[in-house]
Amino acid sequence: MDRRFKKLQLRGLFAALVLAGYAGLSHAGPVNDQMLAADPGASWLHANGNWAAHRYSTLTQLNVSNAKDLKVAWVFSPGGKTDAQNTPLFHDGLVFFAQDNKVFALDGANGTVVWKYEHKLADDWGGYNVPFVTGKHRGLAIYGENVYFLSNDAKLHAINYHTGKATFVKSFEGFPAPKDFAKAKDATGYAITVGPLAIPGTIIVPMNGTDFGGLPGYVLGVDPANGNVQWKANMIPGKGEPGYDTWPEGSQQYGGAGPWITGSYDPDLKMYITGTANAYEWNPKNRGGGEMDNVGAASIVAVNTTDGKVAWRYVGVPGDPWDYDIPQTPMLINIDGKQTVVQPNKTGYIHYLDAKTGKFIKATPFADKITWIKGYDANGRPIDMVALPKEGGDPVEVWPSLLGGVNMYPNAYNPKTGNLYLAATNAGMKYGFEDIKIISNVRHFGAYQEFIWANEVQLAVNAKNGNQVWRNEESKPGYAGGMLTTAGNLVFYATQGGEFRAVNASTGEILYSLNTGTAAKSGPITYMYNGKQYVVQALGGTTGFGRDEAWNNEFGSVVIGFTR
Amino acid sequence: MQVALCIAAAAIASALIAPSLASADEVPPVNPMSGDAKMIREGKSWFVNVCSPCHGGRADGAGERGTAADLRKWNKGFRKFVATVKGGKDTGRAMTMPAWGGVLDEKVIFQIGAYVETLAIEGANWKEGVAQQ
Repeated sequence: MDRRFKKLQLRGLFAALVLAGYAGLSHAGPVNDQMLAADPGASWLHANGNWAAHRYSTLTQLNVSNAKDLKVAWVFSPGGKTDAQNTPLFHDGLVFFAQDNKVFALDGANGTVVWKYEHKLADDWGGYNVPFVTGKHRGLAIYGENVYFLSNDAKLHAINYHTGKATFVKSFEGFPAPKDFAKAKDATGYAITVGPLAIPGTIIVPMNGTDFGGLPGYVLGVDPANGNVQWKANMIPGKGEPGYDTWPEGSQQYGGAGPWITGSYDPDLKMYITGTANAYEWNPKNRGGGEMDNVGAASIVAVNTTDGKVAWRYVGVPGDPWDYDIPQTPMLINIDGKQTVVQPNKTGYIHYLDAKTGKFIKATPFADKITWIKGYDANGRPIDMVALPKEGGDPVEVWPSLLGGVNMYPNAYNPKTGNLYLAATNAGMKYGFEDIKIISNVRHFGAYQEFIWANEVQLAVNAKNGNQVWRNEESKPGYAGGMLTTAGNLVFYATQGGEFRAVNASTGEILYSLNTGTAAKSGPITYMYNGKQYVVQALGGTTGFGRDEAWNNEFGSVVIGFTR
Repeated sequence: MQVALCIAAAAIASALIAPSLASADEVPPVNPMSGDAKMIREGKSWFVNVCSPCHGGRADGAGERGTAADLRKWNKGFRKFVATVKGGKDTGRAMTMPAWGGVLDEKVIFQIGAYVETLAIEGANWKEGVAQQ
């Protein structure tokens, strides 16, 4: 045989092996630290795509020139009884998806169920507002040979990803599940909807559900091997920490500040950076009446993951009188050589902070109408906030509403276009206070809102200067379920009404659209399997927020795999 | 002997059931707190705390926590309102209407009803069944 031909054959074999590896083989097997640190390509190992929470994939097989050829590859129904909020994971040929305290492993090529793991909540599970969150899960983690799942009752399940059998199930002392307060004296508890995050040597476990009677938010670092607690970080400052005195003594213990959405991780700073939810109760009368800052709530908090000490807290809505929690995932973006926390949130602004120090850099508006303040000053303090409503008096109109801006539906960042992609809305609200009622040990909100609806928008915003690049506006209220962007210059999302789309990341031009006919409440993912790039979108729940009669869709529950 | 047992069982059963039936009968067909400004004020306060998260500040079903009935259009009368608040409503999904009967005093439920009645719009009926009394 000709030597040159032999050489070509060897080169061909090598290329085939490389391609095979790219298609998934080199990414098979236990998930190690290098895999966790990489931007997603063949696999999708973090709910937010990577530690920096970009929801950006390096895959290019699907791109602007062929996205119009997308087709449904498979459909799976998890039989969901509530919103499908879970961003799935993909590894080793399997899509992992959580719904209603179950975890499914699906064949990445055809959606067939490979295994199902089910956790039963206790019979006395329940309580104030708990039906609102029961069955919702926003993320999973994968590390080693386990998928990590946080059930609603604050238990961490390590599930062998090959077999679907539990390696361990861990409960955490001090984090009881909420109980039906018609039956239980001690009824408040943590109802968990957030997902864990895998970082080297630790699983980050956010304890987010603090709105079900009044509890303080925490983030735990636990051992991936057995769930043993390595450290526990309090979102609300403890005695001796800066910001402790921004709460009336004793109010910290029911002050909320749940780390509602999985945060980001900086491997150089070794910091876990998370947004936090509202201060509790919503009526601020017991926590300073809006005059005290309530640091830790409606804040961005950085936790040192070597010891669990909080490195810094930035309060985006001091005193949080509007339920403008800012739990949105803080993205990490290098801007002009500085590692920067970039967080679009409910305030209608994108907040920029120095990741190392938490020092405020700037806040750029993105919402159409912002009336609650006139802007942020150089220290990151709101300028001229409107006067609060009087308890029992008329409600006050403010924009955005407590739905945002952007809410918990994930955003994305594409380093190639330099754009942020926002799942945004433009609703306003009338907001009022009433007396706070307490039943058992369950503190109720003492506040209410009347929504003023406006349309869903998907926005592309230059990450560096906050300027709008393009905008797609829907004809009805809501937000997209979440954003995904790729090196193929694409953005994928499903609108509130379930229109699944692939759009040009540079222009917003709609390249592919499929009406799935049900609600979108989660972000899509993409992965490579058997040489083909897939995009998976979970859908389900009730379209719209409240009884928005603009929508005709009925309740649904479905996971769809797309390819070409 | 068997007959005696049956009679005893029936007596126990009726003793157990009777109070709840009597209680249901005690709910008047029309809310005695209707139009009472003080009761309506207190009812609003309770409504805001325990109902508005799902039913919305306007009681139109546009709650921050999701879809719920538009109570401005409540047309099943006062008794059914009280029964639904007490017993809850199974929607077949995770987001159900909880049973508040073991939590809220009947007086509070009446106060909430008096407030919600003030928000009634076309099609509402708080006196459903009254004519048949």
